[in-house]
Amino acid sequence: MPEEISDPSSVDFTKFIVLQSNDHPNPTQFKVSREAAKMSGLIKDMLEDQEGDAIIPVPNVTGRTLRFALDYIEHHHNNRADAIEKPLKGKIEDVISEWDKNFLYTHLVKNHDEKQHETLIDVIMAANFLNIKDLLDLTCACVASMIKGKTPEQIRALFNIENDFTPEEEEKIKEENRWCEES
Amino acid sequence: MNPVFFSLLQLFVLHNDKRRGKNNERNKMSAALVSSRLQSLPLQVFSEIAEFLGAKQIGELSFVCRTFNAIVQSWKAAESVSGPSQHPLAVLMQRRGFYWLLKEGLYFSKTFSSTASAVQLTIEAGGFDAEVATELGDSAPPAIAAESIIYDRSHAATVMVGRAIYRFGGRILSGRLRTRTCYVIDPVARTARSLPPMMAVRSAAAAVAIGHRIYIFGGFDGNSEQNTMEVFDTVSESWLRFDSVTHEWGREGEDDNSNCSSSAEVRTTATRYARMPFAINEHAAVAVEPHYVLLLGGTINRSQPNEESTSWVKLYNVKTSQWEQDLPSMPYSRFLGCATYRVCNGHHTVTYCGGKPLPQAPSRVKEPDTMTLSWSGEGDDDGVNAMRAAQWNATTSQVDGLVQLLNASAVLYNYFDSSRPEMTPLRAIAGTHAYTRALRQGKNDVAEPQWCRAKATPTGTIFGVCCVE
Repeated sequence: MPEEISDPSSVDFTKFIVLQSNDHPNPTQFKVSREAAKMSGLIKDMLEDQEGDAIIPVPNVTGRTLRFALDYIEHHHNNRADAIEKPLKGKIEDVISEWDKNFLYTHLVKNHDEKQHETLIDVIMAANFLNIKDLLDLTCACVASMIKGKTPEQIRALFNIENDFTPEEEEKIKEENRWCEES
Repeated sequence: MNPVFFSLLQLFVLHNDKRRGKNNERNKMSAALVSSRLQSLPLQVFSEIAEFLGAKQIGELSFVCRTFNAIVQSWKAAESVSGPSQHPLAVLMQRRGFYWLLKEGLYFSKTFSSTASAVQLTIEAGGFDAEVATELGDSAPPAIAAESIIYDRSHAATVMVGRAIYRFGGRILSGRLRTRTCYVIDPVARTARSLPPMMAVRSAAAAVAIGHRIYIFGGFDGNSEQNTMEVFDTVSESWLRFDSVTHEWGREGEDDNSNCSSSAEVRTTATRYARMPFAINEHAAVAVEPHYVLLLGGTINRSQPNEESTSWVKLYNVKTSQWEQDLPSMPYSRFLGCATYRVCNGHHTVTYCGGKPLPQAPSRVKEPDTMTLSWSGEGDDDGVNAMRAAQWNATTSQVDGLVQLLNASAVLYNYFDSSRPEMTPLRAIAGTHAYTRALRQGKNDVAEPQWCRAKATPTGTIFGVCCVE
């Protein structure tokens, strides 16, 4: 798990950087190796542009979410996951490693209950912001796996989406999309 | 404010411009419409999720709500810097469908709908750009090789990984030259390019994909059947090496991070191919859960006086990279047929269709066109004992001469989603010439597959059919 620190002055900035969450008024600070942090395209670009001490505030990302993103980075920076095939073959559980399965289905999708996917969406937003491609792939594939094979009605129920179509509109859209119903 | 704060946000904006092209998409959906977290995702993230779905379901996202519908519509006419263009997902929705690989080229049919009595095909010849490596690994002059990459190739082993079609070996130059060249087609982008060649010349080999690995078995080099197999990794686009000590397929240099002495060791024991305990040609291959490959039928002693077809069912364990004891032989010997596998509620079925016997059966004898091996249960042995105890069942359809119709060209589409067997859309096996027929198995697994006659079809021998979804 990522190391939370209270005193950045003890950090060896030649090897590490410190990432700071946006929690107010008490942000969380994590120590991350420079090598691992480069899995984030955003931080990689930044470290290339900038020398010296780096305590980097990460806007938009809470400490709770940042911890998950850094957990992924620390596990995978030396051990990249295989690309996930598009379209998904079967469910995502069938194509990812044990570590990734635990990562997804312990907290991100809490207790493997698809209804409890709040944290997953948080991590997707963080992965997108920090540009961590492999993490974005994994989490997006996880959402796709939840959508896959479900009817529009089931998708709405799972993600709390309101059916805001009038019956006439619904009919019209089905008509327009006839081409995607053939098979 | 901390100056670094600004730099990270600014960098993010720059990143996004780089990643998606300016003005391509609105950054967020209108806040007024948002009620679900899923609806509040940036459009680009929404597209990333959609890419993991099948093309049909991507289109169906329209039906969920106005927000999703607006996104799908926006893909169809996305604006870009270079003018109006389509989002890759809109292109995918248009080009999803069936790709037929014939000797003279590649054909596309949008639909493959089958009713009780007929299969509907609308065939369109695909216009593809070929990108050819200068070194193809053959003696053929590059000018001829360039044409052979998609056109003028027969008897190649064809397999799909993701949305790409991979083809290995076969014959080029109007069938005169057997080849070890390979290529990959991107049917959505409508491009093709060559891949590193195989070690061995292989015509009429059989291939299966398991994850990102493609296993290629046997084949014919013009003189004799091959008794070797090779494994291609589609992620690194390289050929794996087989370590005969550890019995593992791995990437070249994958294990030599630790120190030099061990890497030297790896090199001495690893080869680009593995030997099989038999040679085979014109056989069928199918992957079976949880980690097996079955090779069925085929020919031996080809082009010699004692040439004959076999009824062998060879069993390869992908986990241990070992050949295990053969499964029960098929009740009839066959070559150039095709095989399909399906598991539904713990019930496994391997079906072998088409093909023909060698030497030819007397014409008055009506031979079965379909043979089925079924078993249930898994247990601790990964189902291998249940597989061994299974019985073959041969059926002869009402269609006259079906075996002959399917021979030399029986090909297969068998998309199967094991997690949702009830969603399996269709499976089809198509034969040759104007008499292409499809074996349809619908959502209800107990229904008997039916042979249907195609109303329209490419003419000529079909060497592969792939479904892009």
